[in-house]
Amino acid sequence: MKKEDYTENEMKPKGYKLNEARKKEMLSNIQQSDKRKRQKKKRAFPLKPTLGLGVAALILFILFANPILSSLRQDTEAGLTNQINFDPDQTLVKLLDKESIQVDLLNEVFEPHKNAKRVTGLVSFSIPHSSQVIGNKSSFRIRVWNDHTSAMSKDYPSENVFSKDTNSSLFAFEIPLTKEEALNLKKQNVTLGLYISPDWDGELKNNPATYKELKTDIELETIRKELGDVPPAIQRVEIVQRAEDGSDIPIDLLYDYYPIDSIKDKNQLEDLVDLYTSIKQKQDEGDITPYIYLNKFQNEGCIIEAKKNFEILIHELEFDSQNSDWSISDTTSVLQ
Amino acid sequence: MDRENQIEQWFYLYVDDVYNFLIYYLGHRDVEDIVQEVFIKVLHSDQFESVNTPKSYLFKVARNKAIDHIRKSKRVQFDSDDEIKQEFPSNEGLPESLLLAEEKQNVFLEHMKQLKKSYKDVLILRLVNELSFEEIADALHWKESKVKTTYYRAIKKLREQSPELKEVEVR
Repeated sequence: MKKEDYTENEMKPKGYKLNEARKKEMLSNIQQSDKRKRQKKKRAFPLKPTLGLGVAALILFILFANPILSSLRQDTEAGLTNQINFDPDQTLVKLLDKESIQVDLLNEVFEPHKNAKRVTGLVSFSIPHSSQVIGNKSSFRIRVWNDHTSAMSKDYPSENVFSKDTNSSLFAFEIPLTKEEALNLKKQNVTLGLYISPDWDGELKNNPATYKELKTDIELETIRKELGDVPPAIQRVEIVQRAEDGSDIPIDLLYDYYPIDSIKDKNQLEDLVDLYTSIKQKQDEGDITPYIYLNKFQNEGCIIEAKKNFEILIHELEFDSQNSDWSISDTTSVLQ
Repeated sequence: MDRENQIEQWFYLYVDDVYNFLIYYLGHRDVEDIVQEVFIKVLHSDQFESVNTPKSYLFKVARNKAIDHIRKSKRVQFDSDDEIKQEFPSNEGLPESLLLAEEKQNVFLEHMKQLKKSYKDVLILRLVNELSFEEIADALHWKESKVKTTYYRAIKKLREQSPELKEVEVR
């Protein structure tokens, strides 16, 4: 379903228009105000000194400048020392404490065409505002390691990570892994570290700005079994939110969620259950069971499928009331 | 193009948009002075020549001006009923079609007043000013996904509270 499909009769609020004479008057006022402002700006520059003023200023300068200059000189020297000691990257490391950074290992994705895996995740920053930090030339890298292996991401330049207007950031990172590295990472708990450096030539010299201990897949599996999976309702809401954000289809607004058990026995939805089953049967292991969303008349809706690689498929449904036949009119893929 | 011509071109391009925005945002038609203030503010801000998206920037300034105006009005403590009566002049002598159009507009306008501020922000910029979601996000400093969600919720709310506006176009 496209947006236009739920466009109803046009009744856009009518527009008002200023009359032309009033517009001319306003434009004239605006231009005059602009001229005045620009003239004021010009006048804001210092007045040209006359000869007398110049001589007087020179005498005053000779009389009083020396003590001021000497104190200034001291300040400048102190400033230079500060400048020499100031290392923007160290400042950044200090600003980024563990509580201000969240590094998460989100997923391990297998890429069949490369016959390799890659680790993907998100890093979020929140630091006190500092233009020096934002303006420096550092870059970030993520390293994941355990006793068996270590793998590093590419550089993420700070100017890409932080925009000029913000003191927080969120970026997705990727670490390509060989098959051997992937196997080794699974053997033992891993640590995920964030490194900051102005220069990545040679070996890593500095310590990570922050790091996080992460569980291996095997341990995570055990924990899941103990605690149970993410509550299904929360998982569904999150998936629908992602589907909405990525597709422009206001699913939650247009439709209601219908658990499959609630429609199994309804005659008019028999065909829809068949359609749902056929989608479910085509799913791979690890994919999330599809959700059915229908409008209140139960003649329009969608089936949402979440794949294990984070892709979401929104199958929009069409109902033929004469034949009581449900079909998929369009499928939108959302991959964020 | 010299500055004067540039201002003129810019003014004629957007003056009606700003005018409409302010009418719907403030709920009355006495906004001409504020329109003028918006343009002056933008010209004085030094961003006039460098701004990439002048439309979004204008609405950003217009919205701030409108909020200032609401604050000042609250300080003066107008009686809201009197204000509405005063701001909509008598329709006597207008042709029937104009009156009907006027009535529809006012219905929309009245319902706008009952909506919460975030709904009003997106609805006016989208329905009255026809800005894209991207432009609205830029003007409001929001994420585009937030604009979309707020917009659809606002439409839903608008339809709930005003059956006569059920035909409002969802774009």
